Amino acid sequence: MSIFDKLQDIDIRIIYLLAMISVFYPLISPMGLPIKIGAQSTKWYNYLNTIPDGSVVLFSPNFGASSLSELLPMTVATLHHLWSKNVKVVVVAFWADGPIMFRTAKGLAVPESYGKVYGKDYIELGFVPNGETGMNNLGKDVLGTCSVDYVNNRPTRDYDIMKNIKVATDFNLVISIESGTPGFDGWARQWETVYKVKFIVGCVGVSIGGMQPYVNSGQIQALMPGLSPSAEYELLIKKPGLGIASTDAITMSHYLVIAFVIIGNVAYFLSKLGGKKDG
Amino acid sequence: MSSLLKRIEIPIFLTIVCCLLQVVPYYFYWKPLDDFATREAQWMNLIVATATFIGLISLVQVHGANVQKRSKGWYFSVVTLVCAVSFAIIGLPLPEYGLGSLSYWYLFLYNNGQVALSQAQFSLLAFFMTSGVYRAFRARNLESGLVLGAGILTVCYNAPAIVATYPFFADIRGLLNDIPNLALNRAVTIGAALGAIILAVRTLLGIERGYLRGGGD
Repeated sequence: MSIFDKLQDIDIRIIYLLAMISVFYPLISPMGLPIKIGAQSTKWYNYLNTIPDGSVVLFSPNFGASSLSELLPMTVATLHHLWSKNVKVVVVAFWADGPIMFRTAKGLAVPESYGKVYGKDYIELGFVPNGETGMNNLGKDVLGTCSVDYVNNRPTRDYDIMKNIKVATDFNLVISIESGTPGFDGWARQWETVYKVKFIVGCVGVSIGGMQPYVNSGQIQALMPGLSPSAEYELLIKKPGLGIASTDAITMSHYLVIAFVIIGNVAYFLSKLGGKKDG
Repeated sequence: MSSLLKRIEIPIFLTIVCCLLQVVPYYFYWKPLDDFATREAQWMNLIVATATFIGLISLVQVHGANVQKRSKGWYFSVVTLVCAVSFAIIGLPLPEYGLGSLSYWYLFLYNNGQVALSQAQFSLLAFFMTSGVYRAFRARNLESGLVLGAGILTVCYNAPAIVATYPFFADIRGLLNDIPNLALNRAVTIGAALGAIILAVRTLLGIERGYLRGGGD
C-alpha cells in the first residue's frame, strides 16, 4: 500500500482525535480569529432596532436541548436587545421544551436588570400543544388558548400586559427561534398570511436552505441562521457572549474539514497518476 | 348497536365534517361557524393529551415486557422506564408539593440529564461529519466533483474567519442560496403542497382510508 493509498484511508480514530482538538483547543485557548459582520445579522439587528416603542412582540422559543448550543447565543442576544427597548414581550412556545429553554436564556439575559417587570413588560405563557393548530388557536384567541401563565399559574387576563392582547393582530412582531417543526412554515401559514403579522426567524444553520425562499418572498423579514451570525449580532449589540466564544472553534473545525478534503483528493489523484505510470 | 359503531362510514363522516369546519370559515366568514371552528381546534388539545397518555401506557407495555422477558438490551428499557416515570411524577403540576416543570428537581434532572445527553448526542455529528466529508468528497467523476465543489464552498462560507479574510465567499453564499437553492426549494415546497392538497381532497371524499384500521373496508 503506497503512501497515497494510506492518505485516502486515514484511521478514523486519528480523524476523531484531530476533530476533538480542533474544537476543544480554541474553546480552551481563544485565538481571536477575525469575524466579519454579515448581511443577515445586520438585517436582524436593524429590524429589531426599528420596532417602535410600545410594540408587542411574541417571542417563541421552539427548540429543545439538542439545539441549545447553536440557538442559545442568538436567543440570549435577542433578549438583551428586546429588554433594552420599550416593548412588551409575550413568550409562547410550541415545543414542549421551549419554556425551559427560555428560562435558561432568561438566566443569561435577566429582564429585571433592565428594569422589566413580570406581568407588566413581559409574560411567559408556557407551551401550546398541537403545533400549527396551536398557532392557529393562539392567533384566534390568545386568552382562551393560554388561560393561565406558566410561572404563577394565574389567569392570564389578570396581568396588565395582557389587557390589550386578544388576537394575533394585537402583536406587532413574532420572533421565532426554532430548530424544526412547528416553525417558520406554520407562522407563514397561520399568522403572516392570515393576519399579516410580520415575523423573523432564528434557526440552526442547516435550516437555511428551506427558509431562504420565505426570506426572498418577503414573508420572513429577517433570518438568523446558526452560530456565526449570532456571534456577529453579539458584536452589533455590544454584548459578547457564547456566540463569540464559539467562532474560533467553528473556524478551526472547518479548516480541518478542508484540510482532510484536500488530502483525500490530492492522494486520490496522485495514486491514480501513479497507477497509470505503472500501467 | 355495536355493529353500527364499527361501521367505517362513521369515522369518514367525522373526518369530512371536521375538515370542512376548518376549511370553510377560512373562505366564508360567518361568526358562529368561525367560533365553532376555533372551539373544534381547541378540542384537539384534549385529543393530544389523551394520545400522550396512551403513548405512556404503550411505552410501559413495550419496555415492561422487555424487562420481564429479559430481552436483548433489557437494561436500557429499565433506564427508559425509570426516566419516564420519574419525569412524569416530578413534572406533575403540584407546586405546593415541590413538583412541576419549574420545580428544583425537574430542572435539575432536565439540565443535568436531558440537556447534557442531547447535546452530547448532537455534538457527535461534528466527528461523523468530519469523517464523512473526508471520505465522500472525492472528485471521482463529474457528479461527485460538483458535490465536492458545492460542499467546499459551503464549508468556506460558513467559517467566520474565512469569510472575514476572503469576503467574496459571502457573495458566493448569497448566489448559491438565492438562485439554485431557492429554485429547488420552491419546486419541492410547491410539489409537496400539491401533494398535500390532493391527499386532503382524497380524505375529504373518503377515498383515502390509510388512517382507518389499515385502510381496508
